[in-house]
Amino acid sequence: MSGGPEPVVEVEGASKTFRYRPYARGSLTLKSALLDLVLFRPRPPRVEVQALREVSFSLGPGEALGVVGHNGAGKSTLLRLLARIYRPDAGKIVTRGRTALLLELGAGFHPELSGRENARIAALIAGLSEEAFTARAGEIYAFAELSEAQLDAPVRTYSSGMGIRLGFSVAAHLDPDLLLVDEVLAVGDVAFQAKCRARIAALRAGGTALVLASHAYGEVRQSCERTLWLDQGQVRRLGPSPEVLAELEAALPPTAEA
Amino acid sequence: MSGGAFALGREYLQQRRLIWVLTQRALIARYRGTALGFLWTFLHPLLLLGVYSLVFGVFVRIEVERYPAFLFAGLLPWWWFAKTLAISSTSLLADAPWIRQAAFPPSVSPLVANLAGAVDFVLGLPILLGLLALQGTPFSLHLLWLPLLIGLQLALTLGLGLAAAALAVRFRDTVQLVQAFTPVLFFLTPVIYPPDQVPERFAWLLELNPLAHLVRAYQAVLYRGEAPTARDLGAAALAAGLALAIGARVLDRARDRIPEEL
Repeated sequence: MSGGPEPVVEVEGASKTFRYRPYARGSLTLKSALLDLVLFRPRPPRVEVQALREVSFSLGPGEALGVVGHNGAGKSTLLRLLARIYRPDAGKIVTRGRTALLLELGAGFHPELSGRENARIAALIAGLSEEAFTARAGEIYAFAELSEAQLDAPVRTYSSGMGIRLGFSVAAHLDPDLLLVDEVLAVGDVAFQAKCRARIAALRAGGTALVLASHAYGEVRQSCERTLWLDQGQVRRLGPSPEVLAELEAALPPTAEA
Repeated sequence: MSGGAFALGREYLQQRRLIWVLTQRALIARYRGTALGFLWTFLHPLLLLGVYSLVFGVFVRIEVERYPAFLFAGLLPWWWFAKTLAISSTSLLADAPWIRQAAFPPSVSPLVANLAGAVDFVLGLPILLGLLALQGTPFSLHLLWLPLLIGLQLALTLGLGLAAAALAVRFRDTVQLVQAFTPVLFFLTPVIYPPDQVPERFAWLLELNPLAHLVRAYQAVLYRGEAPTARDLGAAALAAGLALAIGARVLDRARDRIPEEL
């Protein structure tokens, strides 16, 4: 390890467990919680779901890691941990510099706000200064291919493609040291997908590390040197993408996804 | 000791740009959405004040000199409190898209609600002062107490708002409970009636209500042109400090699970 560039991401034995109490009527009310307390009524036992168990890897500048596995294997949980939305309950996660996250539809957009307001606020949350955002706002909107009228409309009126275009454009213009992408790229139209790939390649050439969670194995094989295969929250395999994906495809029945 | 009110202050300092932008947005959204726009924020309180004055000053005949001035001195801070607490309690639910999908600090949401409310209050002050002047209220240097009272109210409402917002994530009925108990607190605050009309055996009801102390301090400064009593100031400061400490603690303890439970 000595002599190489400092890693952008270091994950050591990270685990995440979700804990909740399954109440009969769905969610719990404050009134019934207070009554339970006063009347010493038993509460349903706590259920624990271990979403991730002792995951470790590290990623240097410009490197890319694919994350694959069934739905519910822990891919999104891992990305949320790396984005510091969730905190691990065991282990250590260190990320350096700025992180950009692209999760599902809308990338953390507020449905009632306009595309412009959302882009500005998303950039601020990610840690970009207002001046830096203003300087590159034009570039962000141009890349997203949205008209002036669309940019002023509330995001709830956007199609899923429009939301992803704007979300990707904001994330790609944050100068991220770490780019986290969950699925989304499979959704947009072909031309925009190609544009995104080119943009990601340019970012990586500039030193951005990429974590790509996907069911699209072809995409992972093409973009990522290494792949992490998650199985029920555990690392089933971590290694060069061709090997891991070949093993995965042998173990799983082929899906409709290319 | 991690967390607490000081850590909260540090976090707010770090996030000041985001807080500033979100507060601007909240204000713009509030004033843009109505037909009369900005004017509405002035017309609505005046309309309400007119009805309150008519009902309680003329119909019920509460014996207070310059009754509309007395009413408004209490109503304006009360509206700030009630509206802000209501918005604060839903603020994390409203900001869920950011909290679930980005590293958005949840403590920011209740603060934005409070700052927007404070701006509303300050914008309403000129009308209040105009009305006071119209009714022949002597202005005095005691108006300089106002920034302190505003600061105390901000701390008190922020503390309660942080706790309510954090509770509302796990217990969705928190919002309804806040709505249900706000009018109870209103009638135990001497806004409509003068505090000296409260019989002695019920006085403790008001003594226990921090809003009653705060409103009495506002009335002293605005309506009577006096300094607030040390008792009212002390009680309001104590309540504000306590609320802020508890609110910061409640939010801190819930912080990790808020993105999971939203």
